[in-house]
Amino acid sequence: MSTRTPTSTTAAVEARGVSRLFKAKGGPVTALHNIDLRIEPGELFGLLGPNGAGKSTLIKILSTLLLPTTGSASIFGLDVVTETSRVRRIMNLVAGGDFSGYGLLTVREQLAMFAQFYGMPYREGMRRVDEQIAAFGIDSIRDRKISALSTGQRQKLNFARSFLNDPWILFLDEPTIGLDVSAARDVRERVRAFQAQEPGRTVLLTTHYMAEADEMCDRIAIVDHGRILAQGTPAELKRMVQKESLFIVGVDALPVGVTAATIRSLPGVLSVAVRDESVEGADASAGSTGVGSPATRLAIGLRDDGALGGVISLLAEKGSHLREISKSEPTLEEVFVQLVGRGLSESDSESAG
Amino acid sequence: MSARTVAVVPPPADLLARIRAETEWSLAHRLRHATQSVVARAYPRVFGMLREPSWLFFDLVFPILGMSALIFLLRSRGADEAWISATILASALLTFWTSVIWMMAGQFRWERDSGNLTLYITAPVGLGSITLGMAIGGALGMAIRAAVVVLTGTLFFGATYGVHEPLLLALTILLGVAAMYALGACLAAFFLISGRQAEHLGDLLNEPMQLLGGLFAPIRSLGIIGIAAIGILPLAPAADALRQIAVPQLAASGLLPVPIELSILTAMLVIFSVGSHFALAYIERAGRAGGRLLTRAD
Repeated sequence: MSTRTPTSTTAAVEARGVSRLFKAKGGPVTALHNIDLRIEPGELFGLLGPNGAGKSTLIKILSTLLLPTTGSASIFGLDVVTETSRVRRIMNLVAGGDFSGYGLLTVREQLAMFAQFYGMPYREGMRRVDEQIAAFGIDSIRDRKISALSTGQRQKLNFARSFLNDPWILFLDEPTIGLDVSAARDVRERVRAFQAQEPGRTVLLTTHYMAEADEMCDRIAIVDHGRILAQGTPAELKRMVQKESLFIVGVDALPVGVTAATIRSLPGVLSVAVRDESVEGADASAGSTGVGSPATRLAIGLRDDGALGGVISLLAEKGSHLREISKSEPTLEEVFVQLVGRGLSESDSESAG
Repeated sequence: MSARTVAVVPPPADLLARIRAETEWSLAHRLRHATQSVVARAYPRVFGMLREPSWLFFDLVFPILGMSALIFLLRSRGADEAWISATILASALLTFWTSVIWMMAGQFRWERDSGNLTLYITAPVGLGSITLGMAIGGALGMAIRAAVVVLTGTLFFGATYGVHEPLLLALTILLGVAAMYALGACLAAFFLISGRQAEHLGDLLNEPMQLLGGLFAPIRSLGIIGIAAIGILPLAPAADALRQIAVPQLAASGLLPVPIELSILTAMLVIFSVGSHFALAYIERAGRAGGRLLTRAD
């Protein structure tokens, strides 16, 4: 995971006290409460939260689709309220499940139309269209009507459209929703390649998918009920909820006279759980306990990573052969549950209901 | 799931200066962009629609059937043959008017619901360029249909015309169609705001406006209502002037002299164009403030 230090005094995205109220029959609904956010140039920043958390509202404000009720926001120093036209010249937007376009146009014609809307001279626009068609591997469907495309092909087309104008800031609102695993992976790889081509290109992503956020994002903000509950790198967020360092240590067998209690008595060891793989994993013995595979796994909770040395020394001195050591980290799902008080799927069920 | 592996390169020191420069478009750039956007938006209307045979069939067959029914009725009642010619011309105008209602006035609602309006708003293209492209593309697409309607009607029913001033005829058609589409641009904003009532508004603008516009009967027979219609509805002066120019036997049935009717159409074109400019600016402003006008319901 990359770490960054700010290289510029002007952020790619800056929101200062942004709030947004919507009129509703039962009275105003607050979608965003006093949001402060700073995203550095070149970052891939994720907004993670359930339906109705305010993620899309924030993206709409930053992408000039919506005005904030209070507060201010800027993109590379350009105010999204007063410098709207200039912001639109350096940005683009992709929304998941987007079926925009004209069904009677072909893929190439659709992209050509948007290239004109984005202000490119005709020839340069057509060159960019052909580049994107090649980059997204949609050459075989370049002359197919939009109405005949599958969901995955449409989303690739949406991404190809969004890259046409080489945006400095790309807003991705649930971009992989509805895509199969392979198509979603393709899209993620294209986003990474897009950022790598030009330092400073910034991506703001909203997603439901914890694994996607964990894999893609430099930093993440967890949003719920219109508030940012926490933000940081995925590793920082995980550390927030991790009470102890948890290691999985695999050995061929526990030495005679060494028990969980023996290990627990070592300095810095908080907990030990022993799992005999040769018994529990009998059904899958060929795969899990074959040659070189551990027969016994120890889940060891430590006050800090340094305490692991004592455990390893003890096991080695007593004749155990070490097969594996891995550090177990909490998932973003666990971080989310701890911060929000419920899982993402539960939150979505509540929103849907 | 693997962690992100892309090497992060610090952005260049001149990044902000480059971005600032990219956002500063010269007047020439903006004019070229606006022109290209108009052409780009007109394209699907002209070429895309030719790709759907069923649309071509219905867009041509239904107007011709309606026209034929009226002509059979007129003939059965022993009407002057000049009214057969007038009915054919009125049917051609009607193809434009129908397109104004459903492909201009109703268009932004469709664009909003399909997600296109969001992309237009967030692109550096003005809604004015989009709307002008819609109008020009729509008018060009409909011109083909109108020509087929006139040709079919003329050949099938043996209609005759007496055009002594073809340039005046061309100017009348041009001004009439332009004024209708300018009104359509205003209505596009109005329909978007009106939400679910838009379907009813579309119906209201269809048959009742054919009557008020004096398409199939002399507008002077409508009395004061006809005079009011000629001042607000582009169909009325366009149909009235067209009859006077192309069917000389009906010149006496005209409500106003042709030059005055052309002046009215010119005034309508200017007023509706300016009105649409403000209406489009309003929907963008109101949409960004309210939050629901420009984006489809999730």
